[in-house]
Amino acid sequence: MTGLSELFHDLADEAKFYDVTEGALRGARRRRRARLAAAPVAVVSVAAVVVAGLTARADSRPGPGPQATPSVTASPARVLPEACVPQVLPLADGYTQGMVVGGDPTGRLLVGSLDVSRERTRSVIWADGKIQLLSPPGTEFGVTDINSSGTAVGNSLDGPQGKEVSVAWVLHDGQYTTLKGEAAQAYAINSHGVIVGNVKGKPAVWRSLTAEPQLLQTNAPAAAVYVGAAYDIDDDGYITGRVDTPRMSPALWRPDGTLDSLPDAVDLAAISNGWVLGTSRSGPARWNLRTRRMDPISQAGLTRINAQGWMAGIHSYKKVMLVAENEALQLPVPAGVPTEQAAMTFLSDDGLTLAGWYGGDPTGDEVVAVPVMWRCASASTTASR
Amino acid sequence: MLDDDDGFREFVRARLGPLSRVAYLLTGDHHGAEDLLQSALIKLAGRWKRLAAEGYPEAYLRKVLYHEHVSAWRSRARRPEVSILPLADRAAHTDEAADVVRRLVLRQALDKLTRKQRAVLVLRFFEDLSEADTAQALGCSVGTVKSQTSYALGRLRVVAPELAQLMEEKALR
Repeated sequence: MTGLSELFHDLADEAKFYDVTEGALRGARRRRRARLAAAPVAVVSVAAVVVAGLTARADSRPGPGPQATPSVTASPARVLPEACVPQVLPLADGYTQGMVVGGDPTGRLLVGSLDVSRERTRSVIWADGKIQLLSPPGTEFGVTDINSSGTAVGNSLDGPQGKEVSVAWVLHDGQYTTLKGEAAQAYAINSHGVIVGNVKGKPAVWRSLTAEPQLLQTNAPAAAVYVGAAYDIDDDGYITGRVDTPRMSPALWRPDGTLDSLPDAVDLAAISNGWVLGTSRSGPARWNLRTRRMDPISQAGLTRINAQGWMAGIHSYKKVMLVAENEALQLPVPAGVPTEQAAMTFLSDDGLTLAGWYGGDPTGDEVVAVPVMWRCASASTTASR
Repeated sequence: MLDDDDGFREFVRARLGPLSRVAYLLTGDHHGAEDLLQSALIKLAGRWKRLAAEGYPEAYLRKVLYHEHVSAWRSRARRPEVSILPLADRAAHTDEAADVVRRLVLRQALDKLTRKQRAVLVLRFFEDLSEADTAQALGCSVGTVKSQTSYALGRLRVVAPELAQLMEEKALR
Protein backbone atom coordinates (compact mmCIF):
# COMPACT_ATOMS: atom_id res chain seq x y z
CA MET A 1 0.00 0.00 0.00
CA THR A 2 2.94 2.37 -0.56
CA GLY A 3 0.91 3.89 -3.39
CA LEU A 4 -1.57 5.24 -0.87
CA SER A 5 1.20 6.85 1.14
CA GLU A 6 2.47 8.64 -1.97
CA LEU A 7 -1.04 9.73 -2.88
CA PHE A 8 -1.50 11.19 0.59
CA HIS A 9 1.72 13.17 0.25
CA ASP A 10 0.61 14.47 -3.16
CA LEU A 11 -2.72 15.53 -1.69
CA ALA A 12 -1.04 17.16 1.31
CA ASP A 13 0.87 19.41 -1.11
CA GLU A 14 -2.42 21.23 -1.67
CA ALA A 15 -2.45 22.35 1.97
CA LYS A 16 -1.76 25.97 2.73
CA PHE A 17 0.01 27.35 5.79
CA TYR A 18 -2.85 27.87 8.22
CA ASP A 19 -1.43 30.38 10.66
CA VAL A 20 -4.06 30.34 13.38
CA THR A 21 -1.69 30.84 16.30
CA GLU A 22 -3.00 34.23 17.42
CA GLY A 23 -6.60 33.13 16.89
CA ALA A 24 -5.96 30.12 19.11
CA LEU A 25 -4.49 32.27 21.88
CA ARG A 26 -7.49 34.61 21.72
CA GLY A 27 -9.86 31.62 21.68
CA ALA A 28 -8.21 30.10 24.73
CA ARG A 29 -8.57 33.39 26.61
CA ARG A 30 -12.23 33.67 25.61
CA ARG A 31 -12.87 30.11 26.80
CA ARG A 32 -11.18 30.73 30.10
CA ARG A 33 -13.36 33.78 30.69
CA ALA A 34 -16.51 31.95 29.58
CA ARG A 35 -15.77 29.01 31.85
CA LEU A 36 -15.38 31.33 34.80
CA ALA A 37 -18.54 33.28 34.01
CA ALA A 38 -21.04 30.74 32.70
CA ALA A 39 -23.15 28.24 34.51
CA PRO A 40 -24.36 25.25 32.51
CA VAL A 41 -27.80 25.65 30.96
CA ALA A 42 -30.12 22.74 30.26
CA VAL A 43 -30.71 22.51 26.50
CA VAL A 44 -33.44 19.90 27.02
CA SER A 45 -35.85 22.31 28.66
CA VAL A 46 -35.49 24.71 25.74
CA ALA A 47 -36.32 21.89 23.30
CA ALA A 48 -39.49 21.04 25.19
CA VAL A 49 -40.81 24.57 24.79
CA VAL A 50 -40.09 24.55 21.08
CA VAL A 51 -42.61 21.90 20.12
CA ALA A 52 -45.46 23.87 21.65
CA GLY A 53 -44.33 27.05 19.91
CA LEU A 54 -44.15 25.38 16.53
CA THR A 55 -47.50 23.67 16.78
CA ALA A 56 -49.15 26.92 17.73
CA ARG A 57 -47.91 28.72 14.65
CA ALA A 58 -48.88 25.99 12.16
CA ASP A 59 -52.48 27.14 11.72
CA SER A 60 -51.76 30.81 11.35
CA ARG A 61 -49.29 30.45 8.47
CA PRO A 62 -50.14 31.99 5.15
CA GLY A 63 -50.64 29.48 2.35
CA PRO A 64 -47.37 28.17 0.95
CA GLY A 65 -46.54 27.70 -2.69
CA PRO A 66 -43.93 28.73 -5.19
CA GLN A 67 -46.50 30.66 -7.23
CA ALA A 68 -46.79 33.11 -4.35
CA THR A 69 -43.18 34.18 -4.71
CA PRO A 70 -42.47 37.49 -6.40
CA SER A 71 -40.55 37.57 -9.66
CA VAL A 72 -36.99 38.80 -9.89
CA THR A 73 -37.79 41.81 -12.03
CA ALA A 74 -40.63 42.99 -9.81
CA SER A 75 -38.83 42.34 -6.54
CA PRO A 76 -40.59 44.55 -4.00
CA ALA A 77 -38.51 46.71 -1.69
CA ARG A 78 -39.50 44.79 1.43
CA VAL A 79 -37.81 45.58 4.66
CA LEU A 80 -36.16 42.83 6.63
CA PRO A 81 -38.09 41.36 9.55
CA GLU A 82 -37.51 43.14 12.80
CA ALA A 83 -37.84 40.40 15.36
CA CYS A 84 -36.49 36.86 14.96
CA VAL A 85 -36.90 34.34 17.74
CA PRO A 86 -34.53 31.37 17.88
CA GLN A 87 -35.85 27.94 18.82
CA VAL A 88 -33.97 24.72 19.45
CA LEU A 89 -35.57 21.90 17.43
CA PRO A 90 -36.37 18.64 19.22
CA LEU A 91 -34.26 15.48 18.82
CA ALA A 92 -35.58 11.92 18.85
CA ASP A 93 -35.22 9.70 21.93
CA GLY A 94 -31.74 8.25 22.27
CA TYR A 95 -30.06 10.85 20.07
CA THR A 96 -27.92 13.64 21.43
CA GLN A 97 -27.01 15.81 18.44
CA GLY A 98 -28.75 17.23 15.40
CA MET A 99 -28.20 19.51 12.44
CA VAL A 100 -30.58 21.11 9.96
CA VAL A 101 -29.27 20.77 6.39
CA GLY A 102 -32.14 22.21 4.36
CA GLY A 103 -35.87 22.74 4.01
CA ASP A 104 -38.75 23.41 1.64
CA PRO A 105 -39.23 26.99 0.36
CA THR A 106 -42.19 27.62 2.67
CA GLY A 107 -40.19 26.75 5.78
CA ARG A 108 -42.81 24.28 7.00
CA LEU A 109 -40.57 21.26 6.40
CA LEU A 110 -36.95 21.12 7.49
CA VAL A 111 -34.57 18.21 6.92
CA GLY A 112 -31.47 17.24 8.85
CA SER A 113 -29.40 14.54 10.43
CA LEU A 114 -29.02 13.30 13.98
CA ASP A 115 -25.78 12.08 15.56
CA VAL A 116 -23.61 12.77 12.54
CA SER A 117 -20.42 12.70 14.59
CA ARG A 118 -21.22 9.31 16.09
CA GLU A 119 -21.09 7.37 12.86
CA ARG A 120 -24.72 6.42 13.00
CA THR A 121 -26.27 9.23 11.03
CA ARG A 122 -30.07 9.27 11.03
CA SER A 123 -32.03 11.43 8.63
CA VAL A 124 -35.04 13.33 9.93
CA ILE A 125 -37.78 15.69 8.82
CA TRP A 126 -39.10 18.39 11.14
CA ALA A 127 -42.66 19.08 9.92
CA ASP A 128 -44.04 22.07 11.78
CA GLY A 129 -41.46 21.29 14.42
CA LYS A 130 -42.58 17.68 14.88
CA ILE A 131 -39.73 15.26 14.30
CA GLN A 132 -40.08 12.28 11.97
CA LEU A 133 -37.30 9.68 11.66
CA LEU A 134 -36.53 8.42 8.16
CA SER A 135 -35.48 4.86 7.30
CA PRO A 136 -33.95 4.93 3.84
CA PRO A 137 -32.09 1.93 2.41
CA GLY A 138 -28.44 1.30 3.29
CA THR A 139 -25.97 3.05 5.57
CA GLU A 140 -26.87 6.69 5.61
CA PHE A 141 -24.88 9.64 4.42
CA GLY A 142 -27.96 11.70 5.18
CA VAL A 143 -30.93 13.53 3.72
CA THR A 144 -30.02 16.52 1.53
CA ASP A 145 -33.19 18.37 0.49
CA ILE A 146 -37.00 18.44 0.52
CA ASN A 147 -39.63 20.26 -1.55
CA SER A 148 -42.99 21.74 -0.52
CA SER A 149 -44.87 18.56 -1.47
CA GLY A 150 -42.80 16.71 1.12
CA THR A 151 -40.65 14.76 -1.34
CA ALA A 152 -37.19 14.35 0.22
CA VAL A 153 -33.89 13.22 -1.30
CA GLY A 154 -30.76 11.83 0.29
CA ASN A 155 -27.85 9.45 -0.08
CA SER A 156 -26.75 6.12 1.33
CA LEU A 157 -24.16 3.46 0.87
CA ASP A 158 -25.91 0.22 -0.04
CA GLY A 159 -25.26 -3.26 -1.41
CA PRO A 160 -23.71 -6.52 -0.25
CA GLN A 161 -20.79 -6.13 2.17
CA GLY A 162 -17.57 -5.31 0.35
CA LYS A 163 -19.53 -4.32 -2.76
CA GLU A 164 -21.38 -1.26 -1.47
CA VAL A 165 -22.09 1.59 -3.85
CA SER A 166 -23.56 4.99 -3.22
CA VAL A 167 -27.28 5.19 -3.93
CA ALA A 168 -29.54 8.22 -4.15
CA TRP A 169 -32.94 7.74 -2.56
CA VAL A 170 -36.21 9.63 -2.75
CA LEU A 171 -38.96 9.60 -0.14
CA HIS A 172 -42.28 10.28 -1.88
CA ASP A 173 -45.72 9.59 -0.39
CA GLY A 174 -44.13 7.47 2.31
CA GLN A 175 -42.28 5.23 -0.15
CA TYR A 176 -38.53 5.07 -0.73
CA THR A 177 -37.38 4.87 -4.34
CA THR A 178 -33.78 4.44 -5.45
CA LEU A 179 -32.87 6.70 -8.34
CA LYS A 180 -31.57 5.08 -11.50
CA GLY A 181 -27.89 5.30 -12.38
CA GLU A 182 -24.74 3.69 -11.06
CA ALA A 183 -23.11 5.34 -8.02
CA ALA A 184 -25.75 8.05 -7.88
CA GLN A 185 -25.93 10.95 -5.45
CA ALA A 186 -28.80 13.44 -5.06
CA TYR A 187 -28.26 16.92 -3.67
CA ALA A 188 -31.39 18.95 -4.41
CA ILE A 189 -35.01 18.74 -5.56
CA ASN A 190 -37.23 21.54 -6.92
CA SER A 191 -40.98 22.11 -6.60
CA HIS A 192 -41.67 20.04 -9.74
CA GLY A 193 -39.80 17.04 -8.35
CA VAL A 194 -36.76 17.44 -10.64
CA ILE A 195 -33.67 16.16 -8.83
CA VAL A 196 -29.99 17.00 -9.40
CA GLY A 197 -26.76 15.38 -8.28
CA ASN A 198 -24.29 13.16 -10.03
CA VAL A 199 -23.97 9.68 -11.48
CA LYS A 200 -20.61 7.95 -11.36
CA GLY A 201 -18.94 11.30 -10.82
CA LYS A 202 -20.76 13.10 -13.64
CA PRO A 203 -23.28 15.94 -13.05
CA ALA A 204 -26.80 14.67 -13.69
CA VAL A 205 -30.49 15.50 -13.53
CA TRP A 206 -33.47 13.18 -12.98
CA ARG A 207 -36.67 14.58 -14.53
CA SER A 208 -38.84 12.28 -12.39
CA LEU A 209 -38.56 9.59 -9.72
CA THR A 210 -38.44 6.84 -12.30
CA ALA A 211 -36.52 8.63 -15.08
CA GLU A 212 -33.10 7.60 -16.28
CA PRO A 213 -30.52 10.21 -15.27
CA GLN A 214 -29.66 12.78 -17.93
CA LEU A 215 -25.99 13.75 -17.87
CA LEU A 216 -25.45 17.51 -17.90
CA GLN A 217 -23.17 19.03 -20.51
CA THR A 218 -19.52 19.54 -19.49
CA ASN A 219 -16.24 20.16 -21.26
CA ALA A 220 -14.56 17.29 -19.44
CA PRO A 221 -12.55 14.80 -21.46
CA ALA A 222 -14.45 11.57 -22.09
CA ALA A 223 -11.96 9.54 -20.04
CA ALA A 224 -12.25 11.74 -16.93
CA VAL A 225 -12.90 9.63 -13.82
CA TYR A 226 -14.52 12.36 -11.76
CA VAL A 227 -16.18 15.33 -13.42
CA GLY A 228 -18.32 17.09 -10.84
CA ALA A 229 -21.84 17.43 -9.50
CA ALA A 230 -24.98 19.55 -9.65
CA TYR A 231 -25.83 20.91 -6.22
CA ASP A 232 -28.93 23.06 -6.60
CA ILE A 233 -31.89 23.49 -8.96
CA ASP A 234 -34.29 26.38 -9.42
CA ASP A 235 -38.02 25.90 -10.02
CA ASP A 236 -37.58 26.94 -13.68
CA GLY A 237 -34.97 24.20 -14.15
CA TYR A 238 -31.74 26.22 -14.05
CA ILE A 239 -29.04 24.24 -12.24
CA THR A 240 -25.87 25.25 -10.39
CA GLY A 241 -22.94 23.02 -9.58
CA ARG A 242 -19.26 22.48 -9.92
CA VAL A 243 -17.08 20.84 -12.51
CA ASP A 244 -13.62 19.71 -11.43
CA THR A 245 -12.07 18.89 -14.77
CA PRO A 246 -10.38 20.01 -17.01
CA ARG A 247 -10.28 22.95 -14.60
CA MET A 248 -12.10 23.45 -11.33
CA SER A 249 -14.90 25.82 -12.11
CA PRO A 250 -18.46 26.66 -11.12
CA ALA A 251 -21.14 25.45 -13.51
CA LEU A 252 -24.49 26.86 -14.53
CA TRP A 253 -26.79 24.74 -16.68
CA ARG A 254 -29.89 25.76 -18.61
CA PRO A 255 -33.09 23.80 -18.01
CA ASP A 256 -32.29 21.58 -21.02
CA GLY A 257 -28.95 20.57 -19.48
CA THR A 258 -26.67 22.61 -21.74
CA LEU A 259 -23.89 24.70 -20.22
CA ASP A 260 -24.53 28.36 -19.54
CA SER A 261 -21.94 30.67 -18.01
CA LEU A 262 -21.60 33.58 -15.62
CA PRO A 263 -18.48 35.60 -16.41
CA ASP A 264 -16.19 36.17 -13.43
CA ALA A 265 -17.90 33.53 -11.26
CA VAL A 266 -15.47 31.36 -9.31
CA ASP A 267 -18.05 29.54 -7.18
CA LEU A 268 -21.85 29.20 -7.23
CA ALA A 269 -23.42 28.24 -3.91
CA ALA A 270 -27.19 28.35 -4.44
CA ILE A 271 -29.97 29.33 -6.85
CA SER A 272 -33.53 30.53 -6.26
CA ASN A 273 -36.09 32.25 -8.52
CA GLY A 274 -33.42 33.47 -10.92
CA TRP A 275 -31.06 34.68 -8.21
CA VAL A 276 -27.68 33.01 -7.90
CA LEU A 277 -25.49 33.35 -4.82
CA GLY A 278 -21.78 32.77 -5.22
CA THR A 279 -18.33 34.22 -5.39
CA SER A 280 -16.89 36.34 -8.17
CA ARG A 281 -13.24 37.14 -8.82
CA SER A 282 -13.71 40.22 -6.67
CA GLY A 283 -15.50 38.52 -3.76
CA PRO A 284 -18.99 37.42 -2.67
CA ALA A 285 -21.63 38.22 -5.27
CA ARG A 286 -25.24 37.79 -6.30
CA TRP A 287 -26.30 37.41 -9.93
CA ASN A 288 -29.69 38.13 -11.47
CA LEU A 289 -30.05 35.53 -14.22
CA ARG A 290 -32.62 37.52 -16.19
CA THR A 291 -30.59 40.70 -16.45
CA ARG A 292 -27.22 38.90 -16.00
CA ARG A 293 -26.30 41.71 -13.63
CA MET A 294 -23.80 40.91 -10.88
CA ASP A 295 -23.94 42.72 -7.55
CA PRO A 296 -21.05 42.49 -5.09
CA ILE A 297 -22.05 41.58 -1.54
CA SER A 298 -20.29 43.18 1.39
CA GLN A 299 -20.89 40.26 3.77
CA ALA A 300 -18.77 37.14 3.39
CA GLY A 301 -19.99 33.70 4.44
CA LEU A 302 -23.54 33.83 3.02
CA THR A 303 -24.70 30.35 2.02
CA ARG A 304 -28.44 30.46 1.24
CA ILE A 305 -30.57 32.63 -1.06
CA ASN A 306 -34.37 32.83 -1.37
CA ALA A 307 -36.90 33.75 -4.06
CA GLN A 308 -36.67 37.43 -3.16
CA GLY A 309 -32.90 37.42 -3.46
CA TRP A 310 -32.42 37.69 0.29
CA MET A 311 -29.41 35.85 1.63
CA ALA A 312 -28.43 34.22 4.90
CA GLY A 313 -25.24 32.85 6.33
CA ILE A 314 -22.58 33.18 8.96
CA HIS A 315 -20.86 36.48 8.49
CA SER A 316 -17.67 36.80 10.46
CA TYR A 317 -17.31 34.49 13.42
CA LYS A 318 -20.65 33.09 14.62
CA LYS A 319 -22.73 36.06 13.46
CA VAL A 320 -25.84 34.69 11.78
CA MET A 321 -26.99 37.24 9.26
CA LEU A 322 -30.02 37.82 7.07
CA VAL A 323 -29.16 40.17 4.22
CA ALA A 324 -31.36 41.94 1.67
CA GLU A 325 -30.05 44.55 -0.72
CA ASN A 326 -28.24 46.97 1.56
CA GLU A 327 -29.89 45.86 4.75
CA ALA A 328 -28.49 43.29 7.16
CA LEU A 329 -29.96 41.80 10.29
CA GLN A 330 -28.02 39.88 12.91
CA LEU A 331 -30.01 37.02 14.42
CA PRO A 332 -30.00 36.28 18.15
CA VAL A 333 -28.26 33.19 19.46
CA PRO A 334 -30.55 30.79 21.35
CA ALA A 335 -29.84 30.53 25.05
CA GLY A 336 -27.82 27.59 26.29
CA VAL A 337 -26.33 26.34 23.01
CA PRO A 338 -22.59 25.91 22.45
CA THR A 339 -21.40 28.56 20.03
CA GLU A 340 -17.93 27.48 18.93
CA GLN A 341 -19.33 26.55 15.52
CA ALA A 342 -22.37 27.56 13.57
CA ALA A 343 -23.84 26.96 10.12
CA MET A 344 -26.78 28.53 8.32
CA THR A 345 -28.43 26.02 6.03
CA PHE A 346 -31.96 27.24 5.35
CA LEU A 347 -33.82 30.44 4.42
CA SER A 348 -37.51 30.38 3.45
CA ASP A 349 -38.88 32.31 0.47
CA ASP A 350 -40.79 34.72 2.69
CA GLY A 351 -37.59 35.35 4.66
CA LEU A 352 -39.38 34.58 7.93
CA THR A 353 -37.96 31.12 8.67
CA LEU A 354 -34.25 30.43 8.94
CA ALA A 355 -32.47 27.34 10.20
CA GLY A 356 -29.06 25.88 10.84
CA TRP A 357 -27.13 24.57 13.77
CA TYR A 358 -24.80 25.57 16.54
CA GLY A 359 -22.19 23.38 18.11
CA GLY A 360 -19.14 23.09 20.20
CA ASP A 361 -17.42 21.21 22.94
CA PRO A 362 -18.29 23.17 26.06
CA THR A 363 -17.08 20.60 28.57
CA GLY A 364 -14.06 19.38 26.63
CA ASP A 365 -15.52 15.87 26.74
CA GLU A 366 -17.89 15.59 23.83
CA VAL A 367 -18.88 17.62 20.80
CA VAL A 368 -22.53 18.57 20.63
CA ALA A 369 -24.55 19.96 17.73
CA VAL A 370 -27.89 21.63 18.26
CA PRO A 371 -30.44 22.15 15.44
CA VAL A 372 -31.86 25.65 15.52
CA MET A 373 -34.69 27.43 13.74
CA TRP A 374 -35.56 31.12 13.74
CA ARG A 375 -39.08 32.42 13.20
CA CYS A 376 -39.26 36.07 12.33
CA ALA A 377 -42.12 38.54 12.38
CA SER A 378 -42.21 40.72 9.27
CA ALA A 379 -42.10 44.47 9.75
CA SER A 380 -45.72 44.80 8.55
CA THR A 381 -46.94 42.09 10.95
CA THR A 382 -45.23 43.83 13.83
CA ALA A 383 -46.80 47.16 12.90
CA SER A 384 -50.35 45.79 12.61
CA ARG A 385 -50.27 44.27 16.08
CA MET B 1 1.50 35.24 30.91
CA LEU B 2 3.50 36.85 28.14
CA ASP B 3 6.21 34.23 28.55
CA ASP B 4 3.65 31.44 28.32
CA ASP B 5 2.22 32.91 25.11
CA ASP B 6 5.65 33.31 23.56
CA GLY B 7 6.53 29.72 24.38
CA PHE B 8 3.27 28.60 22.76
CA ARG B 9 3.97 30.72 19.65
CA GLU B 10 7.43 29.26 19.29
CA PHE B 11 6.19 25.69 19.68
CA VAL B 12 3.44 26.14 17.12
CA ARG B 13 5.58 28.05 14.59
CA ALA B 14 8.02 25.16 14.37
CA ARG B 15 5.22 22.68 13.63
CA LEU B 16 2.70 24.65 11.64
CA GLY B 17 3.76 23.27 8.25
CA PRO B 18 3.29 19.57 9.08
CA LEU B 19 0.21 20.34 11.19
CA SER B 20 -1.38 22.20 8.27
CA ARG B 21 -0.82 19.19 6.02
CA VAL B 22 -2.42 16.78 8.46
CA ALA B 23 -5.37 19.10 9.04
CA TYR B 24 -5.92 19.39 5.29
CA LEU B 25 -5.81 15.62 4.78
CA LEU B 26 -8.29 15.09 7.60
CA THR B 27 -10.80 17.68 6.43
CA GLY B 28 -10.24 17.87 2.68
CA ASP B 29 -10.70 21.63 2.40
CA HIS B 30 -8.91 24.79 3.45
CA HIS B 31 -11.68 26.26 5.60
CA GLY B 32 -12.16 23.01 7.45
CA ALA B 33 -8.43 22.56 7.95
CA GLU B 34 -8.00 26.05 9.36
CA ASP B 35 -11.00 25.52 11.58
CA LEU B 36 -9.80 22.15 12.86
CA LEU B 37 -6.30 23.41 13.53
CA GLN B 38 -7.56 26.43 15.40
CA SER B 39 -9.89 24.31 17.56
CA ALA B 40 -7.04 21.97 18.46
CA LEU B 41 -4.65 24.82 19.20
CA ILE B 42 -7.22 26.56 21.40
CA LYS B 43 -7.29 23.45 23.55
CA LEU B 44 -3.51 23.28 23.58
CA ALA B 45 -3.23 26.96 24.51
CA GLY B 46 -5.72 26.46 27.34
CA ARG B 47 -3.47 23.88 28.98
CA TRP B 48 -0.16 25.16 27.69
CA LYS B 49 1.37 26.03 31.03
CA ARG B 50 0.86 22.57 32.47
CA LEU B 51 1.70 20.69 29.26
CA ALA B 52 4.87 22.69 28.66
CA ALA B 53 5.96 22.01 32.26
CA GLU B 54 5.34 18.28 31.82
CA GLY B 55 7.27 18.30 28.56
CA TYR B 56 4.75 16.45 26.34
CA PRO B 57 2.78 19.10 24.43
CA GLU B 58 3.44 17.34 21.11
CA ALA B 59 1.67 14.11 22.05
CA TYR B 60 -1.25 16.05 23.50
CA LEU B 61 -1.59 18.15 20.35
CA ARG B 62 -1.66 15.14 18.04
CA LYS B 63 -4.25 13.47 20.21
CA VAL B 64 -6.46 16.51 20.42
CA LEU B 65 -6.18 17.23 16.66
CA TYR B 66 -7.37 13.74 15.74
CA HIS B 67 -9.94 13.65 18.50
CA GLU B 68 -11.35 16.99 17.38
CA HIS B 69 -11.61 15.67 13.85
CA VAL B 70 -13.17 12.32 14.68
CA SER B 71 -15.72 13.70 17.11
CA ALA B 72 -16.56 16.80 15.12
CA TRP B 73 -19.27 17.48 12.62
CA ARG B 74 -17.95 20.85 11.52
CA SER B 75 -17.35 20.35 7.84
CA ARG B 76 -20.29 18.03 7.38
CA ALA B 77 -22.27 20.30 5.17
CA ARG B 78 -24.86 19.34 2.60
CA ARG B 79 -22.38 20.29 -0.03
CA PRO B 80 -18.76 19.15 0.06
CA GLU B 81 -16.36 22.03 0.09
CA VAL B 82 -13.49 21.95 -2.33
CA SER B 83 -11.06 24.77 -2.84
CA ILE B 84 -11.54 26.51 -6.15
CA LEU B 85 -9.07 29.29 -6.68
CA PRO B 86 -5.63 27.76 -6.25
CA LEU B 87 -6.18 25.04 -8.83
CA ALA B 88 -8.25 27.06 -11.27
CA ASP B 89 -5.39 29.53 -11.55
CA ARG B 90 -2.94 26.90 -12.60
CA ALA B 91 -2.24 26.15 -16.23
CA ALA B 92 -3.67 22.78 -17.19
CA HIS B 93 -0.57 21.01 -18.49
CA THR B 94 -1.19 17.39 -19.32
CA ASP B 95 0.96 15.94 -16.54
CA GLU B 96 -0.43 18.36 -14.07
CA ALA B 97 -3.98 17.58 -15.15
CA ALA B 98 -3.37 13.89 -14.48
CA ASP B 99 -2.10 14.77 -11.01
CA VAL B 100 -5.12 16.94 -10.40
CA VAL B 101 -7.47 14.14 -11.37
CA ARG B 102 -5.64 11.66 -9.17
CA ARG B 103 -5.84 13.95 -6.17
CA LEU B 104 -9.51 14.57 -6.88
CA VAL B 105 -10.26 10.87 -6.93
CA LEU B 106 -8.54 10.41 -3.58
CA ARG B 107 -10.32 13.41 -2.09
CA GLN B 108 -13.71 12.21 -3.30
CA ALA B 109 -13.03 8.73 -1.98
CA LEU B 110 -11.88 10.00 1.43
CA ASP B 111 -15.10 11.98 1.72
CA LYS B 112 -17.00 8.71 1.64
CA LEU B 113 -15.23 7.30 4.68
CA THR B 114 -16.25 7.87 8.26
CA ARG B 115 -14.13 10.35 10.17
CA LYS B 116 -12.48 7.63 12.19
CA GLN B 117 -11.59 5.60 9.10
CA ARG B 118 -10.14 8.66 7.46
CA ALA B 119 -8.11 9.48 10.57
CA VAL B 120 -6.79 5.92 10.76
CA LEU B 121 -5.61 6.07 7.14
CA VAL B 122 -3.90 9.45 7.62
CA LEU B 123 -2.14 8.24 10.76
CA ARG B 124 -1.04 4.93 9.23
CA PHE B 125 -0.20 5.93 5.66
CA PHE B 126 0.68 9.63 5.88
CA GLU B 127 2.13 10.00 9.36
CA ASP B 128 3.52 6.47 9.03
CA LEU B 129 2.66 5.55 12.63
CA SER B 130 2.55 1.99 13.94
CA GLU B 131 -0.79 0.43 14.86
CA ALA B 132 0.03 0.93 18.54
CA ASP B 133 0.86 4.62 18.12
CA THR B 134 -2.23 5.12 15.97
CA ALA B 135 -4.34 3.52 18.69
CA GLN B 136 -2.82 5.86 21.25
CA ALA B 137 -3.44 8.95 19.13
CA LEU B 138 -7.07 7.99 18.59
CA GLY B 139 -7.63 6.76 22.12
CA CYS B 140 -8.83 3.36 20.96
CA SER B 141 -7.58 -0.23 20.99
CA VAL B 142 -5.11 -1.75 18.52
CA GLY B 143 -7.90 -4.10 17.47
CA THR B 144 -10.06 -1.14 16.52
CA VAL B 145 -7.21 0.34 14.49
CA LYS B 146 -6.84 -2.96 12.62
CA SER B 147 -10.52 -3.35 11.88
CA GLN B 148 -10.98 0.31 10.90
CA THR B 149 -7.94 0.19 8.60
CA SER B 150 -9.19 -2.92 6.91
CA TYR B 151 -12.71 -1.60 6.52
CA ALA B 152 -11.46 1.79 5.28
CA LEU B 153 -9.24 0.22 2.61
CA GLY B 154 -12.07 -2.05 1.55
CA ARG B 155 -14.42 0.86 1.29
CA LEU B 156 -11.88 2.88 -0.71
CA ARG B 157 -11.76 0.06 -3.24
CA VAL B 158 -15.53 0.05 -3.45
CA VAL B 159 -16.14 3.77 -3.76
CA ALA B 160 -13.13 4.43 -6.00
CA PRO B 161 -12.08 1.38 -7.99
CA GLU B 162 -9.97 3.72 -10.13
CA LEU B 163 -7.99 4.59 -7.01
CA ALA B 164 -7.12 0.97 -6.37
CA GLN B 165 -5.87 0.87 -9.93
CA LEU B 166 -3.75 3.98 -9.35
CA MET B 167 -2.31 2.48 -6.19
CA GLU B 168 -1.37 -0.65 -8.08
CA GLU B 169 0.18 1.35 -10.94
CA LYS B 170 2.27 3.32 -8.48
CA ALA B 171 3.38 0.18 -6.73
CA LEU B 172 4.55 -1.28 -10.03
CA ARG B 173 6.73 1.68 -10.96
